[in-house]
Amino acid sequence: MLIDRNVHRLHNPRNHLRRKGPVLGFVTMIFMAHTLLPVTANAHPHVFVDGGVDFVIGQQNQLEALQVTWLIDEFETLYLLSDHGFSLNSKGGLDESVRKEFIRSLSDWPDHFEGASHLSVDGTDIALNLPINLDAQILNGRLLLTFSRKLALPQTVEKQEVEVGFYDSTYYYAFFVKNEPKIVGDNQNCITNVLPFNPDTQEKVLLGALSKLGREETTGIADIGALFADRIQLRCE
Amino acid sequence: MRIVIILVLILVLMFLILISFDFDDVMWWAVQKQREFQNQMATAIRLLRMGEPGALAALFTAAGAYGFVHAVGPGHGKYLIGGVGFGTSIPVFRLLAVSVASSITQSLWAIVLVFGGFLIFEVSARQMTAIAENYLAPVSYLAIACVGLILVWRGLISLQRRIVSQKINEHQHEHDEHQHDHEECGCHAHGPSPTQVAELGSLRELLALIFSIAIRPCTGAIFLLVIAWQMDFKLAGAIAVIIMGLGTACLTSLVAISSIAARGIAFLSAGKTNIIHIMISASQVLAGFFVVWISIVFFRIAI
Repeated sequence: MLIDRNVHRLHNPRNHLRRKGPVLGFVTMIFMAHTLLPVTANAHPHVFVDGGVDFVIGQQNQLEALQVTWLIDEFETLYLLSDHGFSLNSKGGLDESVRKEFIRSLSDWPDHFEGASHLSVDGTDIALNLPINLDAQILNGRLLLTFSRKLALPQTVEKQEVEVGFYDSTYYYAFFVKNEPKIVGDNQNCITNVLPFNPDTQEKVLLGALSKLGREETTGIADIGALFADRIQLRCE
Repeated sequence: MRIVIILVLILVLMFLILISFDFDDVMWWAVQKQREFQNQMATAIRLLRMGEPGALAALFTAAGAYGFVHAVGPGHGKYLIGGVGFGTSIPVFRLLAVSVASSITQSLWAIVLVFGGFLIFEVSARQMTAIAENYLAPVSYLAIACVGLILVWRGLISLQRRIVSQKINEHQHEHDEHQHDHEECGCHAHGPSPTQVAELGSLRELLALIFSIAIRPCTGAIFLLVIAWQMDFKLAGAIAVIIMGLGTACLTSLVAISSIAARGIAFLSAGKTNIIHIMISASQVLAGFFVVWISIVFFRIAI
């Protein structure tokens, strides 16, 4: 019968493939688009830190160390305390003995500690030692950390382009320069300048960089924090 | 060919929506608000330690607000719920129930994980966060991708059955013989109808939706529970985390309602009944692929 023949034709496996063909074509297109098109990086910070960097310039106009200040958000302050096994007292602060113990606990820096200070002189990255002289206080619920980082080798900074990127590479922590950078030492011929991250002017560069990052095969997104960084410049005559 | 045109039209519509809506501004607003509400929670916790009245209420309010804005970011199943709402015939109250259930289950799982981890296994706070981010997040994204694949598969089956049904109906109408709509005849079994296939009705399917979202606990909830354990307000911390879950449920419920409304608007313009049915099945396929795509994107970032 005509109906049965048509039903048979419609149920023929080859006809199934022909009907599913366009849809399967879309399947292929979508998967290809997924692999070829850039992946928007899903980077947004979880922890916020205000602070800044001061420059310690010694004899012969050599940069010897950076003095770093971090003012950590209230929530992360509580989490850090909890993580290290400490608690607030009944006045919402820290007992002096607890504060000193906390400093001792924090001073156990991991070897790969980055410290959100990325120093370069004339475009060349300069190595920094692990922090020393750490101090910690609670100010209005926020943890204030100050520490020094000596340069592995002091650098001459006269007429050089010195810059510190104030950022965490992974962008899990968002750092903002809120303190005016100071120069510690006798040198009077240096000036500092803060370049805050500006999303409007840097958007195209960012988009290009993000799209490039999306096609990388390696896990993690390399140095994404640098794209959103506040920067501090030092210029000495 | 008609199916191809319909699929292209839906894809173009989705693309136009994506490029015209500035998601970056919304995301940045959500990040700033998360910071604000996190710090309000911290202030409330300090007041709690000092025994100040009203500290608990302040903590619960901040936790709920934080849950809402945190859900704007990744996780919490927005894309899955939106995809299911747009691409299937699921009734709105059922999808709302899924939204609420998945958020509450996510909160309860965070409590079990953190308090159980501290109590039984004595893991550290960092290890707890690492477990959630490094293991449970990728598992959740894969589970959601699987649910997306199920949507695609069911959409393809539904599409095929509707096309077959339509062809048979057209041919029968031409020859004026046995008037037989395969969806309505009831005189012999055809297996589940395309309508039934397009719905997500069984308890098993709904549980799969809920657990694929809930398996990844919210990082904000984990941090709060870690603080609650150390600073000795465990019960208040657990309640705050459940309220945080209600906050995320508010956001995902908005997504559920919006996606079902969008489904209604998208199919309102189709005059012919058989076109609507085919579009429903086609949109289920596309919604499923969208869910798979987004979850694989997040999976790649998470690993």
